Amino acid sequence: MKLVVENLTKNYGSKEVLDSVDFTFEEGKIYGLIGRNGSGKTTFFNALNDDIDIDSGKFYLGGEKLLNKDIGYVRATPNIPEFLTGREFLTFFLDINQEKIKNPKTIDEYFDMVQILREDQDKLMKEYSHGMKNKMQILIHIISNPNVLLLDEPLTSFDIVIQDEMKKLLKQIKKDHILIFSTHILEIAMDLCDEIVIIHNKKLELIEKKNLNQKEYKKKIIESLKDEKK
Amino acid sequence: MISTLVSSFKIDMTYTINAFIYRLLHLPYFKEVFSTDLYKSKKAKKFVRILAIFCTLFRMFITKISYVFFIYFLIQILYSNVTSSLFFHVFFFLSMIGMFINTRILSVGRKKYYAVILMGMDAKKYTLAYYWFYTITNFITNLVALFILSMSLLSFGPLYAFIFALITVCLKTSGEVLNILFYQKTETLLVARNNYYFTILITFLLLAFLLPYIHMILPPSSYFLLSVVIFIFSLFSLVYLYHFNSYQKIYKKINTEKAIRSEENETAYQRQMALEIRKKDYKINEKKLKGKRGYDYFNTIFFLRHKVILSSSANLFSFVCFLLFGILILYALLNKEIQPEIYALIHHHFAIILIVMYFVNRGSIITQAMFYNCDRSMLTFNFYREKEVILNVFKQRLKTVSMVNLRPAFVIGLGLSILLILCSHSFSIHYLFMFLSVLMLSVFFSLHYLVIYYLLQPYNEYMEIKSFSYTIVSFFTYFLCYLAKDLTFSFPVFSILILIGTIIYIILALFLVYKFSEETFKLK
Repeated sequence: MKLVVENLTKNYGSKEVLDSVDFTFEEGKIYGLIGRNGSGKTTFFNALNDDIDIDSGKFYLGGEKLLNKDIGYVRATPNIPEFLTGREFLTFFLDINQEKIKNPKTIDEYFDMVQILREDQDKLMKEYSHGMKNKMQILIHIISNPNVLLLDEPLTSFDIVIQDEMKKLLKQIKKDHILIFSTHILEIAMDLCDEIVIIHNKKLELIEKKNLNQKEYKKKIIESLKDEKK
Repeated sequence: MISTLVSSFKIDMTYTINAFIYRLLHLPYFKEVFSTDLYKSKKAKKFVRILAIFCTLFRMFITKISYVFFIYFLIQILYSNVTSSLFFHVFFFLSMIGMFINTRILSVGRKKYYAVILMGMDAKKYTLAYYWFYTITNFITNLVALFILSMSLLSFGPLYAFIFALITVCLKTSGEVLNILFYQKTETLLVARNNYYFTILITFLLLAFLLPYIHMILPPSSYFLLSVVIFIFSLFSLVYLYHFNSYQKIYKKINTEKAIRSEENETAYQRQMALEIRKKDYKINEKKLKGKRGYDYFNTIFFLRHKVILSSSANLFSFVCFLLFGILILYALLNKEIQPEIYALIHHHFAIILIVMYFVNRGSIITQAMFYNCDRSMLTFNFYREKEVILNVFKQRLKTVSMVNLRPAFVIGLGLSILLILCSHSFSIHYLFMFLSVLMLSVFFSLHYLVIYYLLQPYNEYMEIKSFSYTIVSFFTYFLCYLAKDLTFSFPVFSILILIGTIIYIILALFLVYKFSEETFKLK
């Protein structure tokens, strides 16, 4: 299964953000998407997720047109229905997706997966911290098991223990998925991702590691990002 | 000081001009024609600058003139005869209210935030520059407004116009100092303390409007002495303003980012506050969820957790309607001769019920709560944006919203039926039709609010209404109801029309929502 981006262009007024982007993402890999501020990472995600109108471009998944249901989008700011308790949200979510979810676990098992404590499970999510809301957001996307998972700066709000758990979880699910992970923290990207893609000069560019060691690879990524066309 | 004023005006002006261009570029037609290059265009900016200066000046004078004339006509309504001394009396005490609660220096403001906090202008220079600007413009606009009033409706002459223009600015100066002293002592704003605020408001309103009823009016000659006293006070106040050195500290405390955001879009902020789930609703009755699954479960919890917001609004309306009809029924019972009139009135003007039901419907607040507390977050999940899911949730919501709105509709229908039976001394099957048509109208408008919400989704994340078409459709709906208000039908015909209309609308709505809302029901 491949996710093919063909000729994607997006402008905001006279400002070009993405210009005829062509790229192919492959199943079984975590892609780290890195770019400078304002380079268009979120725009790229929003375009894939059909949240914004694009000027041109087509997306295919396994040769077919990419559909909304193929994508899960974990946003930088978690948005979850705060009028529900964590348990109510999971109950509702599992209920309406029962036909789609293979080998469902119990609600408690799901809570354990992201370490939401017993005393918080029946609280309104309105009272959850940013990190807990983010856990719920990621959990829902992991359960719904979409083919493509877009993750916009997902780990920064977690403490280091949970960060580690989440990394393991993402590595576990990557086998049958395409994961695209955007971050500003190069260390997380290099540690977690199989490929590093930079968004640069309005294009996506794969930075190949080849025989470089971590230090040289890091230098190469930073140098590539600095080299901006005027 | 002049240079401080000029540079702070420049900041204001840039903000006003850019905000104007921003709005222009978001209008349907203009965004096609113009590009963001407009921000760079010097000619366009010059044009907008002149326009903005003209509008500001125009607004200053118009506001003051309207204020003065408003007082005049208010007195006319209350006392039927306006004399100069009565006008002075009311005007003076209303200015006293302004002195306490209409403070410029301690008001929260975006402009202050930009100038003093963000760009680091000297707070004292900034305050004093603005103080003089407001004092001088206030004096001139007051003088002009009072002079116009004196020339047109009251002939008190230019001397009194001058004295009152002076009194108002001197009162304001003393008021600024009183507010600062209060803040220094209590660390809270006077206007933010409800008990003080309302005590001042009520006391001076009573002095302004109640004293004339018992023939106690300040004699015009007393204002000469008063103006001297107030003038001396304001001189002391001015000295204080020049010696006071903690403007910067106060500005930082009250002009916080949050305060600015709420000030920038007061309505959106108030709307957000009104939609917050109430603590009382955190715990819900689990029994009510028994046997419910999927969307029904989700929708039921939503309505249970918003019981206070949603039901209280509908219940309040039902209660008000209940009281109104109670009074009307009692009135009709006591005054038999009025009964035929009431009967005829209901019969001939029944179509007004369209407007009434449009306003009584709580659909607007319900869809706002749906968006703010539910869809705003749920729409970030792709499964929630699928056609079938949207339609399923829509159907569940239609049922519940209709149930909420049927409460006031039931009271109105019942009230009207009782009035008709009472005034005609008989029962007719037509009244049943009338009753049913009121209920159906309630369903119709519940559906209408929900449909336009799904097809136009007007809100952005901060609850600002961003869709122009939503405003147009809302206005158009009201306009249609208004046009139809003079139609006369018999009750059966009317109710059959409403029934057919509602059924067609339901079918059409389900089709439209299924077909289009995947595209339209999105986050802006």
